[in-house]
Amino acid sequence: MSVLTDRLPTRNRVINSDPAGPLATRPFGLDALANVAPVGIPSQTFTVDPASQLSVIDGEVCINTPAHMNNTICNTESDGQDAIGGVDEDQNDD
Amino acid sequence: MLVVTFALDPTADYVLRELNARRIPFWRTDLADFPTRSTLSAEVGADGRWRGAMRDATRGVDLSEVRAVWWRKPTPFAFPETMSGPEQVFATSQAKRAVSGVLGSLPGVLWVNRPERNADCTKPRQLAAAAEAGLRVPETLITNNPADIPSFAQRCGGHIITKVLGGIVHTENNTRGQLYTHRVPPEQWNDSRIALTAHLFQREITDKAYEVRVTVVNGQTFPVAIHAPAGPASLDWRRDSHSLRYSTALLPPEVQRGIEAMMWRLDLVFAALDFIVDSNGTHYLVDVNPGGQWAWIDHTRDAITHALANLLEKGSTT
Repeated sequence: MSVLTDRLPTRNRVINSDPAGPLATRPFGLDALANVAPVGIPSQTFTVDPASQLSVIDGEVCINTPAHMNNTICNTESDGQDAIGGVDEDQNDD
Repeated sequence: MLVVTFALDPTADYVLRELNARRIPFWRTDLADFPTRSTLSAEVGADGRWRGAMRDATRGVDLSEVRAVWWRKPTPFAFPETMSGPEQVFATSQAKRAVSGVLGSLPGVLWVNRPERNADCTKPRQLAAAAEAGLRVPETLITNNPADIPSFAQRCGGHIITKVLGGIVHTENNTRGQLYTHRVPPEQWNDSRIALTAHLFQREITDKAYEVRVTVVNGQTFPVAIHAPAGPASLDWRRDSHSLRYSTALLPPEVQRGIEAMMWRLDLVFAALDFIVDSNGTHYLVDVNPGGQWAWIDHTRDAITHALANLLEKGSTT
């Protein structure tokens, strides 16, 4: 089948800095925007443990650290509330 | 085995921890690692097979030995910041065709899922595939013509919602927000700004009893009922994941059969499906997430972890 979407979908973690345009040309669908919050520079660093290849946050293996797991994208998918690593931005990926 | 995902993927970690316990060799990498931290070297033979390796400083895969690729949540290729914009566009174009092209050409490899199948799984296509497979889907209108809305809404008893056709995150002005399912009251049916792009409108299932998330792994289904309290989460449970209650769910046989047929039509091995169940027990398919999350639900986490590990270890859907 023919599709126009990117054939190699990836997570887009870019935060746009452009302000909203005038209301007259703001797409109707954006009226649903909720939980709008400023995005600062991430304070955590994400790496992969060289031995186990598991996710690491600030030097600690994430899955072994309940405090991390309770606040990562694993547990707070899509609600955007203080999720470490942000919520998923890619298409069809909630 | 190759696992392609971002450095922070705790959902994948459950499966990777299981693979480690089973001593199944795998290499986890992210597209963002290429080309600064990983390399690709491949040569096609007279038999049409690509031979070579993809690797980083410590690990990698021999292309002839790859049996499974778990395509999770990679981030984009990353290049030196000194590259200009057009240079980055060129470099990205080269990289995506090379990496996905070589890996995608390897014979006998299990993909969970092929990325192009994920890309194909747009909202219009998934709703069509669901209906073709015998699943119920809410009446749906996609339009940029405001004049279409009133008559559609009338056919839906005056209760319609709108939801995005793609990802729910929207960023602008250095802020981030989410675009959840949203009611469209009559005073908005003729909003001229509907004409500015395509929008999806759907009948609101007003007698919703609960929702069901069904994670599908190679034909196995793992359904969980999701109960949201009154309030914003009742229309879209993603709005407040902390308020949700989960319970065991059973799928009617016709829904089970419909899921199998839809997955076949979409050519997906894995997906997380969302159903709304009304007071009569009718299941409405509302979303297919080919890269969906599942590990945050305690009820099914271990079972899905093992199902995925078993599938990846086997390297085959049969």
